[in-house]
Amino acid sequence: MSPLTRDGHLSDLGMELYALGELVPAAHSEAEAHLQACGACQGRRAAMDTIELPTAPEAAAPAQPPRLAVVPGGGAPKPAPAPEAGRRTRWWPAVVGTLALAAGALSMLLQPKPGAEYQLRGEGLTLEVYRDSEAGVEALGVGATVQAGDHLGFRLASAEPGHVLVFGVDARGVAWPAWPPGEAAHAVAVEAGPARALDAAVMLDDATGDERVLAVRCPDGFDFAAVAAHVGTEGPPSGLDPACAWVEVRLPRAAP
Amino acid sequence: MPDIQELYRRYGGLVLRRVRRFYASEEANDVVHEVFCRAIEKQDTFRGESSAGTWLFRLTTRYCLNRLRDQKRRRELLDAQGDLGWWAPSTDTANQERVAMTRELWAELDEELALVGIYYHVDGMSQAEIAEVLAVSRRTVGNRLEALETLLRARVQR
Repeated sequence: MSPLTRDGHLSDLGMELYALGELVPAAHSEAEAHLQACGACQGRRAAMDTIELPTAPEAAAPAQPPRLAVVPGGGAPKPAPAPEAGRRTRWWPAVVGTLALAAGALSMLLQPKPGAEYQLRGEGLTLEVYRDSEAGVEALGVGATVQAGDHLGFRLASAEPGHVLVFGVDARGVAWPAWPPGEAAHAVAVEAGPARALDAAVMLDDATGDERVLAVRCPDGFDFAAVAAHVGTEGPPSGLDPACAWVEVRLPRAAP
Repeated sequence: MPDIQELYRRYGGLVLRRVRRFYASEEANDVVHEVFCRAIEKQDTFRGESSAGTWLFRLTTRYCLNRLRDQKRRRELLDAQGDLGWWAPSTDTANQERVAMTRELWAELDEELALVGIYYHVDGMSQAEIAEVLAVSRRTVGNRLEALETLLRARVQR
């Protein structure tokens, strides 16, 4: 049995069995040859090693009550930042709706431009970052800074159809998912169109150093895991397909 | 069949990655535990006809599908996550229209047809690979795909 999908990539199962050494020799050789030639599958294979397993069933720790914190300006308690450093919390707010409405009313529309704040490759991909606070919703323009606890929302415009994923990268080069949320996120198929609010937002943790938020649009689908395995401290993920467009918004941390 | 700790050490990653195709990461860990408990219950169904990894991949897929098909669970999911990320095909050449329609029909489909639809349209597997995972003949896979196509076409014409 060939471990390749109908479009010639390693199937999920084929990849798993290859990693486990459970493919029959002919299929193993086929998988190995494909992996040597296919950057996308190399990325998927590398991402497999980054997964963090939960505690084994029999040794599972007793459930802990959720940690709650009151978000400034919000009426209801919101989930606290995850305890591990470098992670961002999914932010579940009714504020997302508020943000979308308020963002539409904002007169200032950020346009990506080369320079210290924005870098981009490819035409027609625009990423706007907003902050929601007690003072209201503000678009983060040139010179804006961010700090721990900031709630960030996003708007995206694409002049071409494609698959888009928005993610952040902290100063250490560790990626965190923004849209769609979750480590298991897949790029979302988008149509060409004007800027729209994305149904996701994040709350910044207390990591140090500047944050970068990137949107990547590719003709084909891709996963956050593949992106996360190839990000560095500068620029887009390494080995990005030349057919992909990307835009980056750099968000300096406010001085303590 | 080895004990659960040994299974978990070797196959925990496979199961977790598969579960994450269906569930967000915060829920996936719980589902992984449930899958391993089910694997222990069902270990007598493992007859060595395929590798243990293939057997667990199949068991995980079936478990996740049936968990999702539960009506109450389905309602919660549709309310909370109208856009189910797991229906995004793993590769882009999968038939997007068929994926969308399979998604619409997944709760109504016969379990075997739903599984074939997931493996074929969402995972992009070949018929030969599906046959091996399901431990059925290629002809059976072909027949089920044809039945699924018939249902999807009827849906379009409705």
